[in-house]
Amino acid sequence: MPSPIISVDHANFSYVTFTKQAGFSGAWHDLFHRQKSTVAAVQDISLHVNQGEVLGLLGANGAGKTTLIKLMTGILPVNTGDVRLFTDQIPFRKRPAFLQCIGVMLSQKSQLAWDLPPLDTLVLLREIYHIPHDAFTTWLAFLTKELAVTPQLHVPVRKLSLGQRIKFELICALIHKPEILFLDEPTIGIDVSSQANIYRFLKQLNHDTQMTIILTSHNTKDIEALAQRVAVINHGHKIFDGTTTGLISRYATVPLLEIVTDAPLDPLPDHVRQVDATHYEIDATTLTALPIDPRRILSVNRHNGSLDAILTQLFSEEAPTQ
Amino acid sequence: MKYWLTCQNALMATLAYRGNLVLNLLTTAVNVMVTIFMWLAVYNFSGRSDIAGIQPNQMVIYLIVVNVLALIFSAEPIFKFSGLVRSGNLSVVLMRPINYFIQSFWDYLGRGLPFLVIYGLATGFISPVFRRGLLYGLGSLLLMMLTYGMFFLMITAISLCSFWLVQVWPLRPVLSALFLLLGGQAFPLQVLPPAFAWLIYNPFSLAGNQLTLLLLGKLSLNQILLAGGWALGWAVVALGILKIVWPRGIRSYEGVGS
Repeated sequence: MPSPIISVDHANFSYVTFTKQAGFSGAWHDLFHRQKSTVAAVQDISLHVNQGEVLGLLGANGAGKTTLIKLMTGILPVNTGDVRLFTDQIPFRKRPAFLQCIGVMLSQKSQLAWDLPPLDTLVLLREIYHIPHDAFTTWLAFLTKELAVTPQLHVPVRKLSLGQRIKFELICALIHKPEILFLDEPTIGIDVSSQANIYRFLKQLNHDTQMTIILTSHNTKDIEALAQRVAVINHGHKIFDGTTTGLISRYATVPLLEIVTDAPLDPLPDHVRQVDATHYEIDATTLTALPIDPRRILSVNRHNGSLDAILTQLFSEEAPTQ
Repeated sequence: MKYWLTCQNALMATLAYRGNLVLNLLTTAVNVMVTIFMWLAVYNFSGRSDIAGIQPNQMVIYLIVVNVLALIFSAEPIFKFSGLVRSGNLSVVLMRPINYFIQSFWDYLGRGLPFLVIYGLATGFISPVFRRGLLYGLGSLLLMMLTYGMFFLMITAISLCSFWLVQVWPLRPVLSALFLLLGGQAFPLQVLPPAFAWLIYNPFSLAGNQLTLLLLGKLSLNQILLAGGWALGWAVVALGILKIVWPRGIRSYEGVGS
């Protein structure tokens, strides 16, 4: 079995922060006695990712998923534990050969020069990553066509819409064809059709080039559309690692089905509870088949079976222990 | 090539805001005129035809040149780096297979290029620097390059305090004052009493006062070598600070924001 392209073993990271008291007296007090507190952002996380995998990192705000990405990309050093990419590369050392093989898109941090057109930044990246001119031209034409931003290549970044900027940020992260792509909130500010476009493009890229993709997002659509595997981070701990369906089946414990029909059911079948005119609930604990004519059903959903519902439930809980 | 492109982009970014560039030049011109009128008044009222060996017309040229140099030797990298640390955008820079300092140097060069061209043209066409023999010309060129590199390293070393200071804007007036007083922007340091002669070898004076005197042809070859030695010394000090502080800073960097 090939060794994983990313290995995180018992990684821990904490940082010191300062709290400020309110009001003038608080500010005066803080001038002489600052109150420090240590935040454990990542706690004993182990994670292994194979080449070609698409891993989604899920977590609430401040859960530690972006910090984990920062540990994997070498922006931050681990306090204890070990993080290695490509078997032997320690990210924090930032060796050029390592940086050449990763692409990072932090949606709230821009690679683009604000006053210049995206093409100027991309040409600079071409030189930084030593990309041959012909290969650069072909690849850039492909990327801009796929993401529908070719006409914007010569427009100053400050004149672009948020969605167009995000797409160019993605192009910047991909311009050197990295082996591992880190995407932090890649679809913030992007309309639904562009989101679908990005999902399709990234899926195709992963399929064609076996590019490993690590993705964080609050948008569960991103994760469901792209990730073959998800890791759920909560209060710095990894609380789940598996497929999205595995996550749903593990946490959607109540076998309550929500059914929508094309017209009211008359008479009401046994075990079926009517919620409104065409909306019904069935407790499937003891059933082996649906007591409703399948031709009448518009949709069947398991109650608490959507990723959003599960994550809402998980993130509202206190820090769990492994 | 990648660094040259950085320089080119920085120059284009400077030229992109034409209004800012013109305003910057206008503000500097007003400052220079005020200082010139002040000094001409000093000459008139003192009844002297030269002060510290500098005649009124030379003083006018001195003040113009030293203010152009103040534009070249800007402290902007401090505030740019502080912005990168504060916003967390340094993360993006760190993820590129480049040397941040070399890239930053070429960026600095690009932003100062319009003013460097003015200084270069003045040196080439007006100044006697390149008409005093090959050795003098080479020595002068070396001093200019050494001083430029030294000042950049010094400013970059100061910028590393951004890792621990959330706001570095209080440094802006301090640095302006240092260039004004220690750099000879307001007056040539030669007018100071002999007890303060050692001040002419501080980094700001090397960048302002000494390079202006060089353009005016007021430095002997020995003085050029001495200034070059000091510039090299300061560069080594700044480099040492960078080597020590950068690894510590980068460990304390939190990459704030997502």
